Amino acid sequence: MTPTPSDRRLTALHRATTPRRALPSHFTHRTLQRIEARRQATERRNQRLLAVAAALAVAGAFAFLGWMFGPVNIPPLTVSVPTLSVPHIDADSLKPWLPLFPVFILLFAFDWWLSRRRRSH
Amino acid sequence: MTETERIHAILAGHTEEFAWFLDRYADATHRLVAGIVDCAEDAEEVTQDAFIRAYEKLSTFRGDCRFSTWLYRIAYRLALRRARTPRTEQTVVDERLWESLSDDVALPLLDESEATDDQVERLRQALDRLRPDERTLLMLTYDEERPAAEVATIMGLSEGNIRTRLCRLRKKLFILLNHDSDPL
Repeated sequence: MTPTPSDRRLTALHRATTPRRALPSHFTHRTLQRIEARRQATERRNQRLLAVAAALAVAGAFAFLGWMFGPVNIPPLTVSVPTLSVPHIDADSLKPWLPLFPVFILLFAFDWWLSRRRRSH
Repeated sequence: MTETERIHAILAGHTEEFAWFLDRYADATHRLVAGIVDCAEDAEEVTQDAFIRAYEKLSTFRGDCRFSTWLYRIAYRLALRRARTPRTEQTVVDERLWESLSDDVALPLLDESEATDDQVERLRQALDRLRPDERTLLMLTYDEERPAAEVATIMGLSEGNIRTRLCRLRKKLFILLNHDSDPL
């Protein structure tokens, strides 16, 4: 059985191979900090990649729809989707969409708060 | 808590459990790395890099060897990569003397627990004249007292190769300690 560090005899070889400069006392703490920093960097990179992948997927879906239905089918679409065919935007047509803006702001704020909480733990 | 249980806890998200491995193996890993790289700052950095790499690759640890063996293998490879200049052979050995030594030449000084500071310094100087892989082999075999199979895993060599190298290394170190060899 390999002797544990605590019960190994201080043989001449052990003394001769002991580095002249020992590891600093905060080595464990500093290493764990580096590990956590790299973990967070990896997480941020993965989130960015996910956002790019989602954007590409949505763009790809729209491109596919456009290719599938083609310019010939756009008039029936404009009939069935009135907002697209009506370029004029007034206050009444915007009212149903207004609550979405504070919801998005709250969502981003919550995500930011959650990330900070996880980092601080 | 066993090492396996700690590893499972770390993989489940309890990063703080990795501190146990750091406390247990940091000094020994540092000793292994310091015997390979020349600079003290590099030795500390490579030791830290080894633990970080071990953490990142922890999910690939299959448990077919001890965690320390796996960790040492990572540290050994990183240290060899970082070692700036390969130590060139600096020892001229009398062939007749080499042939006259038996394969199992004894090295009592290695195991001596009451060696004087002068003896330790003489041993340190002899070790400095060895190659990094030779120092590693010596340390793992005679200081850490690891079996040849584990040493082979750490150094990426076969068991037979390890035993052959140990034979030659014992003779070489015996000559360095007991006979003055002129440097090139």
